[in-house]
Amino acid sequence: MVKRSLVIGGVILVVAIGLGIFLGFLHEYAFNGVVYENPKPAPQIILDGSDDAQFNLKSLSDKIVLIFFGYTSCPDVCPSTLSDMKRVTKLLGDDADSVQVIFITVDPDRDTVEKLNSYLSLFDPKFLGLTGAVSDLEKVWDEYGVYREVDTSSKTAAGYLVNHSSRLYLIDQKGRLFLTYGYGTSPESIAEDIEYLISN
Amino acid sequence: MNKNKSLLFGYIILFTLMISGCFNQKQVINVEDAWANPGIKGGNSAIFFEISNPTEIDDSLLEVKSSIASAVEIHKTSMVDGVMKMERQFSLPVPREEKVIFKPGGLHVMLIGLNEDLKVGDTFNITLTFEQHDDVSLDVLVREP
Repeated sequence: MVKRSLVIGGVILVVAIGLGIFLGFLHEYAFNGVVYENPKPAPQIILDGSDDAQFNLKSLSDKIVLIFFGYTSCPDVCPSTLSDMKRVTKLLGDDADSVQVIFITVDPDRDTVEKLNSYLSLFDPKFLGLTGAVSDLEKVWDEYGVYREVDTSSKTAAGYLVNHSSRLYLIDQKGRLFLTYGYGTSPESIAEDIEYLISN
Repeated sequence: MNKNKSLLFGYIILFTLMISGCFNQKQVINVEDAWANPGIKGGNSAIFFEISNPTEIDDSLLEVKSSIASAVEIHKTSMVDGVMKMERQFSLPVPREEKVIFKPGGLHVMLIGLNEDLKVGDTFNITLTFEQHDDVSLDVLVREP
């Protein structure tokens, strides 16, 4: 009789575990961004910060980092993306303290630390701008797969334009390059992914 | 009878005036919902709006003028394999009975060398010059996208 109860109990336990796994599978979160296959530690970044201090990505361990590559003379895509980042932090509310937005220049000839500082303060003074020696920046652009090309062909009073990748990169709390977003991804979608990462 | 005649006469005049008003109303190009990104003095920004050409004449936007920046140019952003490229437009077709929409990631008026900071809530004036129709002047609101 005891043996029979044990068998029934075991069956119930197995069914319960199976059901739990099945329901968990049904509710598996689907990220809005593109998840890197086998996410690896994010390439190191050591550059000059718009806060006048040297920046080291390692100093942001335990934080979620959103990185966008652009330039302050960019009139269109860069301000749109930075405004979206501002919206993301607003949507996150108090959880925004767990997130750092970083803007890395693709135009070091024009983007000084001071210029980055005044430009980013238009959006959110907590956003951090990074610049540095071209060789240091080239290493970062390369490691993050950023395409960047100075375009002198357009006859513009701006002197020259910079064609560049417009993706957004997310480094998770474990320091892994985890997600990437295409231009125009809604702030709501990005905030939803971040909320998920924070709560799991 | 005389009173009725006068009333009829009055209605005829009123009707004639209304009809002639309709025919004389000059159709113009409309530019609406103009806004610009925030920017810093010496830096750049972009203006976006909607142009509608309800007329029966094909037109082109030739230039945009404003004292807010040292140079004002029409540009088009395009995405090619995730890479953002901009190209200057020297004459932008505004076909008859069509709308041309300037929006982030597409057509925009580039402000180069801002003469002052553009902060959210600021406004400034621009004038659009068309090949066929009269100039259009309007105010632009600085706001976040």
